[in-house]
Amino acid sequence: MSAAPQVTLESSDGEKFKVDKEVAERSVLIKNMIEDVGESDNPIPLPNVNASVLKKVLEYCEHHRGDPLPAADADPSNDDNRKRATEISDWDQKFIQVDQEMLFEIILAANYMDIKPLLDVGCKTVANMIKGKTPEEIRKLFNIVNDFTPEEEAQIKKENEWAEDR
Amino acid sequence: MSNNSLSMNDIPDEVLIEVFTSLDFPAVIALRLTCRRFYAISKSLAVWLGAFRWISQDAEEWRSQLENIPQQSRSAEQLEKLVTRMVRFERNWSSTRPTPQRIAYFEGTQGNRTALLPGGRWFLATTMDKSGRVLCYDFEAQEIAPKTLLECPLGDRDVWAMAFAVDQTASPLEFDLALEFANQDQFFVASKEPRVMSVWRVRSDGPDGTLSAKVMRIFPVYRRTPVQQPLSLSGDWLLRLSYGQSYSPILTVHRWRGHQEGSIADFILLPQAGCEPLENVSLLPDLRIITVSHSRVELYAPATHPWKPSPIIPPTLPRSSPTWVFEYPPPHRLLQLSVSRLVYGRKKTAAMFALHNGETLFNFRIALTPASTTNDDSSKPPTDLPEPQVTSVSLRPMTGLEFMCLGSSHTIRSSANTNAAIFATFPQHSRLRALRWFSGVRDEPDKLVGTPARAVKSKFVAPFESGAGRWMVDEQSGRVVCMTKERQWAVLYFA
Repeated sequence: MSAAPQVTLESSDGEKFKVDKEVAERSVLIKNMIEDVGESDNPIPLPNVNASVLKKVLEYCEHHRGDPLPAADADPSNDDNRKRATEISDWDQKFIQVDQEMLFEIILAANYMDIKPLLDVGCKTVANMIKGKTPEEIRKLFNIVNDFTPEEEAQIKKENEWAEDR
Repeated sequence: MSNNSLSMNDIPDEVLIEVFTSLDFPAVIALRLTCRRFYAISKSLAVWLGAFRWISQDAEEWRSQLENIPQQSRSAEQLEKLVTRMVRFERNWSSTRPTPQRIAYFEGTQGNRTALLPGGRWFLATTMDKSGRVLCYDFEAQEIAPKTLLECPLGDRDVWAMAFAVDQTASPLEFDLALEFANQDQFFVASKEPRVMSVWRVRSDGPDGTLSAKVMRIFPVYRRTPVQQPLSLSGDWLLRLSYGQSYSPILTVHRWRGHQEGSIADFILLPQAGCEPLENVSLLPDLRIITVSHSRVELYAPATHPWKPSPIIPPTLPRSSPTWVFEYPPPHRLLQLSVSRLVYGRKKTAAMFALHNGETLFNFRIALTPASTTNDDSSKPPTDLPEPQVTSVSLRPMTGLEFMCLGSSHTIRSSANTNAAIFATFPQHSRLRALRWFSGVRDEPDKLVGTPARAVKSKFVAPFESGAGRWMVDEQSGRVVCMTKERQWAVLYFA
């Protein structure tokens, strides 16, 4: 069997990755680029993604190469995403066990490269980290600076205080 | 972590919205409280659509629930308000001891017609001072004070009967209100000034949503109506119950809209029940009529009867036969009877109402004609409709059920299986309880499973003695209105 068609991707730091076209096309951005430009031997530049992140992203694409592509704009009421919001498949869960910076890198890359399922995995992971935590714990976890004035904070807390007592 | 070059701040808003929509309701609130940016994002529509989906866990369900919210109301603010209320009310109501956040007392009127409008903001009450006024109370105002919504244009009368038909999907609130004005001094005397029927269009407009009313139609009506629920409004049609000679009930259907001035009654029907007084009459959107008496429930299909467009009952008009009769099981005659309001299913394919006699609770589900024929002059009788379904459940473990109101499933949710909520009061304990009907089978959504005794989820003990039968519940807002023994009114804010 002749080799599957391949494309070359170039990370922001100049590293080149030769992957199967099918794998690269998990990214809607790349898929559209290939469609626009046509087959070419020139590497596709990804100026927003560095090599270590791109490697990770391609690992994901490789694993999910056979998955059916999600419909362009699936009916949000039809998907079971909400039900599965906290459920991430075993492989994905292992895959996304990375430090926080890498997690954000992957989310940004998935957003930029338009890989919806990977973006979902990333967002759900962040959501799972947030669940059950107090605002103070969330700030600590993500290094969020509390920029409310004391008056504002008191006001907003008051508006929402009922939500906390169960 | 503090040395990270990349943080939450580098994540664009649209991605953070994704994160938000994967959060459950408490987490949305927690994240909102962390910083200004998240606070701002938490105010976006997508976040609240997500939260809405969370609280209506059942994927299939949430879609229809969202359909019930008019498109215009789907602003982030509206949705947040809705979700917040639902969560608050649900939490409070399903706790073992629901506690109102606030109780406000207000001065009522001497009139005995009242209505808590869907949405729980507005309360209507009639006066008894010959001005024929309807007052409205705003439960969202700082101070609950009555304002005159309308008064009888002919003067010297009081509101004798009131009925309204609210389209739940209309936003802002807009509905038809039917009022029968009569001078009660002349109750037993043939008056020179007849009773008048009027239909008003009430809408909430202006920046603060104040109600205003405009009279649409006024026409004289004849024969006295009973004190019980004598009116039912549905679309362009108005059903009125009155009594003829020897107290035999007469049902008159008026087409109040789009009709020539002067023509009064479109249909007159003499129910088979004959001399038995009717407790309740309801007009369905397909123009069929439900009558409830102390021994039975009957369903009439107008076009199968010799309808006569005439203001006077022709002497030859035969008694009509109902298309369907339900007789209560023995003992057939009931002393106590309470009928809840009619609710329509999601797609308005069925009407549902409940009644109880202190012994047994009956739930009626009546399939409606798919296409409404109310705008068609030559209304055809509904054909091939399945027989109404009746389910019943014994109330024996809790005698003394005195008031109830039927709620719909999309506002009260403790379980995806909740089909309907029944609020009930037990006057001897000043208690208001929520009973729930559970349906376990999707194909049989109205099947009663479990007894109310087991389904009694919560009890609320009112801090005052309540006057009999004067409770009103709005599940959407979680507000309950009650008249106390001292004829004072109280509104309880459960959400």
